Amino acid sequence: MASSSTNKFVLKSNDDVSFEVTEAVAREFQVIAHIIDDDCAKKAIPLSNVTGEILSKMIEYGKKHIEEAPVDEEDEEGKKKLQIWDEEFMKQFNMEIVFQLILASNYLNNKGLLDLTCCTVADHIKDMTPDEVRTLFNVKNDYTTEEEEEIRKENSWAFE
Amino acid sequence: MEETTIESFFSPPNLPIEMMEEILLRLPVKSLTRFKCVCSSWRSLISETLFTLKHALILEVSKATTCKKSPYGVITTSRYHLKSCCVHSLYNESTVNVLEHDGELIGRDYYQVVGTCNGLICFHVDYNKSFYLWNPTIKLLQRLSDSDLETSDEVVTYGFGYDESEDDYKVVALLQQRQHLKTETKIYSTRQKLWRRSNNTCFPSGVVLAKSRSGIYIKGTLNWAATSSSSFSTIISYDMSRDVFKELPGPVCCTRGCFTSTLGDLRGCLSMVCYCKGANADVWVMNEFGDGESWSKLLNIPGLTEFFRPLWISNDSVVLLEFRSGLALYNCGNGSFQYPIIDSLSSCRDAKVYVKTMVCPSDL
Repeated sequence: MASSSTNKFVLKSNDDVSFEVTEAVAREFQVIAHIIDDDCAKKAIPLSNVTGEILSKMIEYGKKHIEEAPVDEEDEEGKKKLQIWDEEFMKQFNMEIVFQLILASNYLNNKGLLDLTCCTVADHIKDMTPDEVRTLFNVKNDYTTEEEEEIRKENSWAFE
Repeated sequence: MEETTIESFFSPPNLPIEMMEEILLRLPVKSLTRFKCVCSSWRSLISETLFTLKHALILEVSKATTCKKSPYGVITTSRYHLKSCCVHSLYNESTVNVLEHDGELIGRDYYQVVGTCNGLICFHVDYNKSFYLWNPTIKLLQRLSDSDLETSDEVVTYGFGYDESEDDYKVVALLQQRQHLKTETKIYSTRQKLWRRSNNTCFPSGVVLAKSRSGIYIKGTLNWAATSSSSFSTIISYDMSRDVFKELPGPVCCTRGCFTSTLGDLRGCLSMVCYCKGANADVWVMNEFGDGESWSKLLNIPGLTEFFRPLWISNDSVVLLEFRSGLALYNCGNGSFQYPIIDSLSSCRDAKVYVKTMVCPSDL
């Protein structure tokens, strides 16, 4: 049996872009790991919810985390290096792409990338006003002016 | 033109509520509190007990990783005041802002910090002999029902923690009779809002608890330093869910002339300070809780004999230490001390690190 570093799989996005990856990288995504384990991965693995653009970024992330995985729990330096890479990696995206990465990493089940992308959004919005948040997430304000004023008063320290 | 066309320039995919929750769970308390204003469904999500617990637990997990600005504070009593400051600013800022909380609590009194868990601080005040639960981050306070714990011929030692099996925050009181070395356990349940006597009888006999030190909450257990007739110094560990006591092995230090009594919580690990032959102080850390083999010596400070306790360690091994005279930063690499706020925290006692959460003390 071929080892997971030489065994190759093809991942195919919903806009028909194909990526050849090693088994180790493919297994970074839980859903794909299950498909491989169920032996349903003879041909290309179609991923109906992910575009080629997003998939290529996810594969880049997966590869890096395989290649540069910290040696063990104690490997503080390795962890730190990967963390710095993660931060740099996220800097290239606007929020629209980050949202798509969240949806895709949830769909393909990669906990690390889901955590990283959610932290990126959290970091982006943490100093925003409620109004800015509504615009970003397309959320409708269903309070009356009086209700909103009341809640603001109750939590006034958070607006200082 | 309609307003929506401006926004459609960037129309985000509507994130499902589970994904929205994942993002919100990673926000600091202040942002979450402000975002209750966004809409009613966000407000109800952020106010849910389950959400606040998950939020606290995610913060606990992230303890192991580096946060840009760690969501931790230090709470301590200093003379007749209860004070707090941020761990982050102790490490990184030249002037540390120390808050005094007496005004928002019950005024000047003898505060005794019993423990902290998921962002809640349990303290006891002298004048009405009452216990309080307090979340300093969201500034909410709850008084617990009264007890009749204090008696003249017993020594009472406390602890505070979370019983996962019953989703219940509990105060544990150990009453030791001075004469007969018998120990009685009383437990307060915040769910049932009452004190009850524990039915278990498994408190190891012949064990005397170290004087007036509150239990250290680690992974569902409360831990006290103690001395026993058989093994000189020992650790008593109480499992909150199973309601049982057991003894934990201490570090294998020099066996003679060693004095150990101070336990602490160092980023989720049990720590112990050991004074060797009256001339050195060592700090030991139990890396795998419950496993006696996993004790390792974290640092050694020559010539230190006074009381101290490690509170925090940064990723580059600078340790925050509690002294009676205040807080100090000790650099393990070069053995140097730094004193960020010695003045406003003199006579500090019972310093604890707490995590900034939304857990509401009146809503448990």
